[in-house]
Amino acid sequence: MENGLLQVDGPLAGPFKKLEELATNACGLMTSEPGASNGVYGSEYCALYYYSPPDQAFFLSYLSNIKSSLDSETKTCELPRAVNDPSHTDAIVVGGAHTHPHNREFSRRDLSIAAHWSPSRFIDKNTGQVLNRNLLMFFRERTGECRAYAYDNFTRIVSALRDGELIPIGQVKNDSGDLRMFEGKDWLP
Amino acid sequence: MKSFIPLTLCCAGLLSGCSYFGYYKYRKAERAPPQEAAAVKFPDSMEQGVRLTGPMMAALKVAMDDYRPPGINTKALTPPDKCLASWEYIHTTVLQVDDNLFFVEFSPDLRNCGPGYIMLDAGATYAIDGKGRILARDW
Repeated sequence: MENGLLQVDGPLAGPFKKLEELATNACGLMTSEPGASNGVYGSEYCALYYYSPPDQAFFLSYLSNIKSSLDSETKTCELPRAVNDPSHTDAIVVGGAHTHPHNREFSRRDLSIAAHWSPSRFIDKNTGQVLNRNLLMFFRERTGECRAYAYDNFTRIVSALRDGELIPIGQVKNDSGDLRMFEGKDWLP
Repeated sequence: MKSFIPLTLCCAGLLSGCSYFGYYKYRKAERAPPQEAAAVKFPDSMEQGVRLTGPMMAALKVAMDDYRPPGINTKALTPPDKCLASWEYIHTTVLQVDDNLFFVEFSPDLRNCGPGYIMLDAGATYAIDGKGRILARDW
C-alpha cells in the first residue's frame, strides 16, 4: 500500500460460517505450503481473514511470505494489513493468521503488545454481531495433525481448536506476552 | 602487476564491506553543543533508574553484538528491516538465573516505526553463560 504496509488479495478460501471452520481449513492450507512445516529450517507464512457482512461469512486471503532480510531474523513474517477482494469491498479485516514451522505454541512475542492490532473489536451495524480481532497460528505435527490456535486481542484469551470448537486454554497477563494457562489446560489436548 | 591485486583487494576490504569480516568503523557519539549541555540538570538520585549489574551488562553486550552486529548499516536498509535493525525499537529483558546463566530477550516493537508494522516472531532470546559464551538461542 502507499503507506508501506502490505496488502494481499483474496479470497483464497471461503465462505466459512464460523471462525472455527475457517481455522480448520486455513490450518490445512497454510501448513502445506513449501517449508511451512520444516521445523527449525522452515519458514513462516502470513495471511488475513476477513468477514463479509452481506454474506455473513469469513474468508481467508492469499498468503504472504514476506519476511525480514536480516540474517538474525530467519523465521519472521510481516503481517499484511489490508485485503483486496473486489467481490467483498465492504469486508471487515478481522485478524491475521500465520504458521509456525517449529513450535506449536504462540511465542511470547506473538502475544506481546507489539503484535496487537488496533482496534481489537468490531460490531456489524446491520446484525449487531460482535467480532473480536484474533491472531491465528497454525502448526503441523510430524504425524500430520494440524494444530490451530487463536489469540483474541480484545479478551487476551488464547484458545485451541479442538473437535471444531475453540477452547480457551489460557490468558495473557501482561504486555510482554506472558501467558497464564488455565487449570488443566495445555497446548495439547 | 600481480603484486597490485592483493593490495587492491585489501584496500577494497578496508572500505564498505569491512563489517562483514567483523571490522567496523567506531563511530563516536554525537555531542550536544555547550549551551545545551549547560542546561542539563543531573538528578540528585538514580533510585528510579533501571539498574543492571556488571555481569548482566557483560551478558547483554554479548547478546547485542550477536543479534545486531555493530557494523550493521541501517541506512542501507529499507523498512521494516530498518526498524528491526534499530535498537530504539527493540525492547530488551535481562534475566539472571545464577552467576553462570543469563537470558537476554530482544523483542522488536515496530508499532511506532513508519506506518506501524507488525512483524510476527521477530526477535530472539539468548542464553549466555558467565564466561560470555552463547549457550543457545531461541528463535
